[in-house]
Amino acid sequence: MDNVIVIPRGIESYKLCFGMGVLVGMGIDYRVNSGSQVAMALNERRRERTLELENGLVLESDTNGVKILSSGNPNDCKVNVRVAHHA
Amino acid sequence: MHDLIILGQGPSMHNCPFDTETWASLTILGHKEYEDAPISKVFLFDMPENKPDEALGLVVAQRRGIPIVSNKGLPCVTEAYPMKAIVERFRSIFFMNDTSYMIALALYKGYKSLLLWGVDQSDEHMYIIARKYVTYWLGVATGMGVHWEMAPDSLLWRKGV
Repeated sequence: MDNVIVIPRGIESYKLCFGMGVLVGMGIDYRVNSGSQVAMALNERRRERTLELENGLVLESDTNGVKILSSGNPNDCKVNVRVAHHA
Repeated sequence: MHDLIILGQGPSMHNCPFDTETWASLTILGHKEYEDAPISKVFLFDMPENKPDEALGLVVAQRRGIPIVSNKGLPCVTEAYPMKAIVERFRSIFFMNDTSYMIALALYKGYKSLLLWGVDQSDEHMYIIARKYVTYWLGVATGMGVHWEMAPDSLLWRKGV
């Protein structure tokens, strides 16, 4: 079962990027199901609507900029985390 | 004692102790006070002709025989940045400024303790844009158990920005 981390909206992108980096450093695969701060932060340079990497990371944003999960708190961004391996 | 100093171009660079192996942007060698600094490697990710400081730094690096690391296929490059290997290793292409590339390479090469000087960003605009790329790789370092520290007057964690 995936672990779910709920990230409140409004978190500064540089702090969020730090957290994502920690996951990468620990060797934890993660999938982002919502746009919000994560997609805006990590997708910025690619300027693509959808960015998919081999490790299962998927960033999605619609033409309006942010896609919010319909389940759970609509103000939150959900990140599904699967423990894959350790660095 | 840290394994490696990563030197940026922010104001705190002037207090860098240079007491261990030091990596820096090529631009830093373009500053007169650093012409003879004990810098082990310099990194180049912009075209030198687009930045006067970088062009000057290139002259100094070549005169002193300092390795020039880059992912660009330029004749002046003496050491290829292992981009493909790093992307495969960390499954990330989240790079922007020289500091992000330097941290990633240090982690790839197995350095265990990093000290960042001058990582304040060159001006307000660059600070805001590039900060997340630096904090991402510092996060990777944290996840890997690599010890890292910022210079005492680094602005990286300045609140309200």
